[in-house]
Amino acid sequence: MNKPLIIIGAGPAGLSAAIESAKSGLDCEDIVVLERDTRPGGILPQCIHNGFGLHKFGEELTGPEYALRLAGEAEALGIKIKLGATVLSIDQNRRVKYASEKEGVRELEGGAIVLAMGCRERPRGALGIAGTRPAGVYTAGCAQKLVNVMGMMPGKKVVILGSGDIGLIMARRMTLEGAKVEAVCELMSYSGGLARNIQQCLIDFGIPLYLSTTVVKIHGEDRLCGVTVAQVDENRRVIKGTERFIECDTLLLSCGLIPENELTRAAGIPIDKVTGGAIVDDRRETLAPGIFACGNVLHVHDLADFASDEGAIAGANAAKFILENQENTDKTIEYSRICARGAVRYTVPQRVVRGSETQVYFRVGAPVRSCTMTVRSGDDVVMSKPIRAITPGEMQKIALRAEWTKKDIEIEITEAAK
Amino acid sequence: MSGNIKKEFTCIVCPIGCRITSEQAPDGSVVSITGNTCPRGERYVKSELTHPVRMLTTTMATTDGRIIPVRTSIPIAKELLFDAMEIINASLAPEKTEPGDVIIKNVLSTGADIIATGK
Repeated sequence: MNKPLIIIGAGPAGLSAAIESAKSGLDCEDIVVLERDTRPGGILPQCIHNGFGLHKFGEELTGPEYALRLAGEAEALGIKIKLGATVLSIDQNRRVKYASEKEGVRELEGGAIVLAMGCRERPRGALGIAGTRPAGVYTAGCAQKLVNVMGMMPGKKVVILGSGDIGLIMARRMTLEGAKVEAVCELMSYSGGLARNIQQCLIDFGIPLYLSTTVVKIHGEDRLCGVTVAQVDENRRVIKGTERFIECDTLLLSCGLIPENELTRAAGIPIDKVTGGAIVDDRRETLAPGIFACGNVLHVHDLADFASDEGAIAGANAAKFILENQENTDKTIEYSRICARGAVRYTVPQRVVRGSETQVYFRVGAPVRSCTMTVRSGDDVVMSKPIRAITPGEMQKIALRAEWTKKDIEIEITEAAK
Repeated sequence: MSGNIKKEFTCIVCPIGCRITSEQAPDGSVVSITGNTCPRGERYVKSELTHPVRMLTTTMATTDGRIIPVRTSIPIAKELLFDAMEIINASLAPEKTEPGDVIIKNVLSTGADIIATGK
């Protein structure tokens, strides 16, 4: 009897991991999916807009439809999901302690673990916005849940801080439901969201986008009555004299997503400071043998499709870990490092099993145009190609050939000399 | 050619968001469409030049007091979005609605149905 594969999280990454682990030969009785919410799908059920599934299914689906597809596929394979089960702790011996109303507190010993806990929004407290603490300040995702799942309007006159996709999507959603969105303010000089969302969420509705602008003060006693916004310079410092008051009763904060690795950290599993997720190899195994990570808990994705792809990689390899009894192997695995250079801010994975082919995902730290991407294997340049403009909001991928990964890899983006 | 009108678009059909440029003759006929990386982008811009349409995704209350996500089956005229919202918000979906069910047929004579996308 195998020890089970324990998957923490039934969002797009966790569900895909479960599905792929079953397709890789694991008995569905040996797959345990622990999900703390009352239904599977992760964040998708509240993402009622379309744009999901184009890569994975060749169709454009809404979040709930995409979640139902995956949940349906898992169900058809006989995979059971324990809903309402919150994982309290994990350790590097692959013991998982969880609690649910139905079962109380239980402990399982896994043959392998897949971490798929997703990410959380940066809250007001972490932004340190000055002013009072009235009602009416929400994170964009919280407002999304209120509107789309609970059928409640958070307010009528809205300012949104942050032009990432969640902020843009909520600008449209609130407008369609009758609110007046006065402005979307963005600290950086560029938007972090998809260009299509600037068009279909802001331009379509005449909602102004103010770049290099931030909220410096929140006003109101019981209820928000307005915000002071100001322009910032290239060092993101407030430019005195540019402050102006915008009347509003609702402030939505869309200021960054942070992978939720409380469990990972507590288990002593090394985290990459830049991504906020575990350090992994191309099989998505962390530095703790038999513990894998995928989806937004590993690095924040732009598309659920890619989070699912990553879940499939982790699920297949976690299944293999169990079926091939890899915990008892005496083989040492050799790795090559994958390093980010130049404008590249991070890569996932951070290392690769020597001599394997793999896809590497990466992001730039700031927008670049007319640049060159260079891949080095050891001291040799194995690939060099021109890249048109790319922004931090667009995750990139590049395929590495097996011959290249026999040595340490460097992925560099340099802007062309002006 | 002078007298031609150039317009810039961000395609919304897929997450890539290609920047597409259209060129029209003074009589409005399309001379060229460039910048798209797939045929859907060309169709999108042609549509934007004649009659812009958009998919509508929203929520609807059910007769038994829940709310479910819904969407239009096909994109509808951009100028009808708020009218469609009014109709959807004034309607109730039946209790036993399943994802994929048509709740409102041919909303505002657009040919688009309002379909449930969740439970």
